[in-house]
Amino acid sequence: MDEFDQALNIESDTYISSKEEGISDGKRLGYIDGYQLGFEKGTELGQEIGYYQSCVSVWNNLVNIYKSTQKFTPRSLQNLEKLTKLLDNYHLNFNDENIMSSLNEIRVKFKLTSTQLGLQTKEQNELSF
Amino acid sequence: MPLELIGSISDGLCPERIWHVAWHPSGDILASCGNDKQIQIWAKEQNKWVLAQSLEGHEQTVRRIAWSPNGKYLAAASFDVTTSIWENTSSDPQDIEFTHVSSLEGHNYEVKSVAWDSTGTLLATCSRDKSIWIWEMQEDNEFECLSINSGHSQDIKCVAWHPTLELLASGSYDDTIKFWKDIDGDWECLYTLSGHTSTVWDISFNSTGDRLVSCSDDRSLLFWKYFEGADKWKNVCKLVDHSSRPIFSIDWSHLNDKICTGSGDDSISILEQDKSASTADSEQYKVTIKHEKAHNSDVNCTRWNPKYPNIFASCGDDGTIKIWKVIE
Repeated sequence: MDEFDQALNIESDTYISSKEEGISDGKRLGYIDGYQLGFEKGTELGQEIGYYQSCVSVWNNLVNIYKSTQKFTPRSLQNLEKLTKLLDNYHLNFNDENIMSSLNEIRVKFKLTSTQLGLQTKEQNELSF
Repeated sequence: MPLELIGSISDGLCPERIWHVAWHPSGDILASCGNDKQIQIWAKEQNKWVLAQSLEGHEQTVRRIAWSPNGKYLAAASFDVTTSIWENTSSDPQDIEFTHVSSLEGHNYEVKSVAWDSTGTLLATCSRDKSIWIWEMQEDNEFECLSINSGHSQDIKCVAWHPTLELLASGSYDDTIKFWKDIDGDWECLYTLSGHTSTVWDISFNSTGDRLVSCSDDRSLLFWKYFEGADKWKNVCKLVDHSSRPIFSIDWSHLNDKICTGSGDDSISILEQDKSASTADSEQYKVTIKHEKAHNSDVNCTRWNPKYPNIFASCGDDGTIKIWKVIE
């Protein structure tokens, strides 16, 4: 009767083994997709923070050079200082829950500081004076 | 207590939606704005309202206008993402000659509202970009941005300053009202009032600034009272069902405490507090007049005259401005 048992169980056996294969394939593909997405988003985040940091570094230098001619309002300088501090304290630690809210704080401060310094930023890609 | 129509201004053959009307502090001049991208200034000449000046320049709809407390400046919020500032540069103090003096840029999307604080030095603008910008007027008509306030999770529809304090309230598409104050150089959100179940279209403080009323897309009016001891704003009255459509505008008169509202059901209502039924924690307000078909379409704005009691102006989607008197 063994041959008949095999024939009777063929559907359920195939189902079980296919399901196991599917799960392991899914895990593998899911990891590849997730890695790609994470890489993309991580790069975007890094680019954004890098952009702010480079602007802030240039602004801080400009402020030092032109300090004597007093081109900057005290408020704008205060905000530049606060923005510098925010960026210094920002770490790309993906286990930190506040990573996105801190980023939002930085975005708003950046917009405020650039407006107060009399600069216009366009879509984070161009800086016009 | 009926409502009498004492004046009417309509634009002509092709009327365009009028979004907002604002009375000059003198009570004798009215400004309006709307879809035609212009700001119209109306003055009374022998009992008729005539166009004194038309301010052009915005590239999109002008959504809201606000007079400075001394009446010398007019600010206009537009969908073209800028806020324009106009100054009355006429040498004759009785005359009207407004000149464009500044353009406030920075918002990423349409500017929905603008308001001057009680001292006339601060200006607040709010936008679909979910932020409120606080500006300070400097000499030679320059404006410095003091703060960008974020906190609302959606489009901000209206901003209103407290009548005496440097305190700002805002109403949003996120169903909440937020209060903002400068704390040691940084503007922060002090209170968040939840209660509405849909967009808060307009808010208004009473003359003493210890009450706030809000109207919403959820067809209700909420009255809020400030409890000093607890340092909290609490809801003390809720009015539902007196309008079948969203209520777009609300204004609390600083002359006689009456409230006027404009609704999407084409009606205008007048409300008053029922003092006999009110207690310290729960107040009663009732509709004393409901005037149906005040306009032929949505009523977008109703505003009390700041000088003459019981007089208010309204405007709507039908492109007309109407002046009303509450008969007592």
